[in-house]
Amino acid sequence: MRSLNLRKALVGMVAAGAVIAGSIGSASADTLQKLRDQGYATVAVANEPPYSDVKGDGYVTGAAPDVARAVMKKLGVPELKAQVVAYGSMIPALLARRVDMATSGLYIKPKRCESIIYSEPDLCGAEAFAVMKGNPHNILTYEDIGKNPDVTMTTCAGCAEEAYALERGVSAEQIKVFTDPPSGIKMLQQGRVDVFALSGLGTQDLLRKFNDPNLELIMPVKGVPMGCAGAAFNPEDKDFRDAYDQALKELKDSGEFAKIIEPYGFSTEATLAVKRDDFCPGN
Amino acid sequence: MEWSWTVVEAVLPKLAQGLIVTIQATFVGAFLAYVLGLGLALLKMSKIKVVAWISYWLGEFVRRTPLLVQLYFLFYVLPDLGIFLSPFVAGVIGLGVHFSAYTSEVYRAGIENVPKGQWEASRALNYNSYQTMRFVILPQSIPPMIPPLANYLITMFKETPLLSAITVIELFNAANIYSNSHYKYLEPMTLVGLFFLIVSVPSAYFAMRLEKHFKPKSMRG
Repeated sequence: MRSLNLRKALVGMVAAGAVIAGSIGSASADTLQKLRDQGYATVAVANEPPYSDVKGDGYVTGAAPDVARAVMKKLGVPELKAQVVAYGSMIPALLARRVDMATSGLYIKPKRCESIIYSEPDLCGAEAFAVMKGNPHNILTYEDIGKNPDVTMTTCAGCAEEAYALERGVSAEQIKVFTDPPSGIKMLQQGRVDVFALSGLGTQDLLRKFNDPNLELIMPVKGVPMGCAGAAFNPEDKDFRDAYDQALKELKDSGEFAKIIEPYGFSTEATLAVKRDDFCPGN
Repeated sequence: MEWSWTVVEAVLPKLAQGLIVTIQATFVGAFLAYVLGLGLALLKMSKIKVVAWISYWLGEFVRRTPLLVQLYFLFYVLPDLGIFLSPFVAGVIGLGVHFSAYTSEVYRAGIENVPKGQWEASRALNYNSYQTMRFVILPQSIPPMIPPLANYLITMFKETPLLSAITVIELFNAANIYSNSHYKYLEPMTLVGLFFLIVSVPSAYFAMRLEKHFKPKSMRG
């Protein structure tokens, strides 16, 4: 009796699984047309000002979403809806089509290009550390952290800074990933870690908000490339991406682009000087 | 979506380390929950009204607020007040204190279920309160407490992923960190679920056996 019930339950579960699996895995056709019809695009943001910033009422702003909003307007999609997604989860979110694009200063990196496609670069910036006042461990580069095994650092899981650290001799035990950037600063203040690493403008913005005289900004961090980000897409949406690139180019040529990003502290010159192919040829 | 054994191979050692932390956190947390819970239960039954009242509401407060909030408080707020706890210590204290509020109810119910006549008999024998507890009440009330206490152990085990919010690298967090930098969720998360099952199914079976074993004799079939 008991084994029979178990078998029934198993059959039921397998059947349910098959139904669910069947409903996934279609869609792609013409993403841009779909977005035009529904009147909005769902974008992944990390809520890391000035790259992306979700206001209390849910309105998404920040340099990357503002560029995306201007571009999408040109493409006939008037509104953006934001979904806050950790950096490490943005690629899975794109692949699972939980979001239509990621507009959050996701750096263009070869390893990421294996999974997703990018627009042309829209934001470039240097890297930074935050440390205690006076920089007691004298940390200026990732190599400095690697050389001193007693020093610990925090950054976000799966973001470029974590890869920079691991590639430059920092051991995995030295990295304690934070749940969100402000908590990372809190960990630094409380002495749980010695170094906080993130994008330059992001770190600067956090330090300004915390306004703690015991913290110090180290910027730029030497020995790491300037990080350039672009809007990210599902690899099946190549047509959508190409249309986006075209509209982004118009935005850059008209000078509107500079007007959007410069108030946030980003350099138009640095961004216009690079191409996607510099990071991910053929992406 | 395809199952990759290379990912499994890469992530397994990290998960194994995480599992150790999970089990440590469960047992240390449970130990705290059992000890603090007993203390809280005795306080709740105190003859001094104020003590009973305060400890009752203390238990209610802990039980009616989310564990996640309590963990954040222990980890991020206490250091500002000068109390600095490492992630693991903050985690087990959070777990232990939270579940002590539940276990105290188990103890209280167990003790209060001892028939009134037994208390009266102890008094008739001129036992003091220590002797009453030690030789009359506790021997009768502990056995029925054991199964629910064992069940709380299993519940605590399943609540440990909350510790990831305060940077403890337990089983779930180990998988999550891997997933975040390799963009693979299928294998790590499946394995996490599997690990939890491997531990909790036999434990649940064991708890069931305990329940049978400690059933009052009059109710045995």
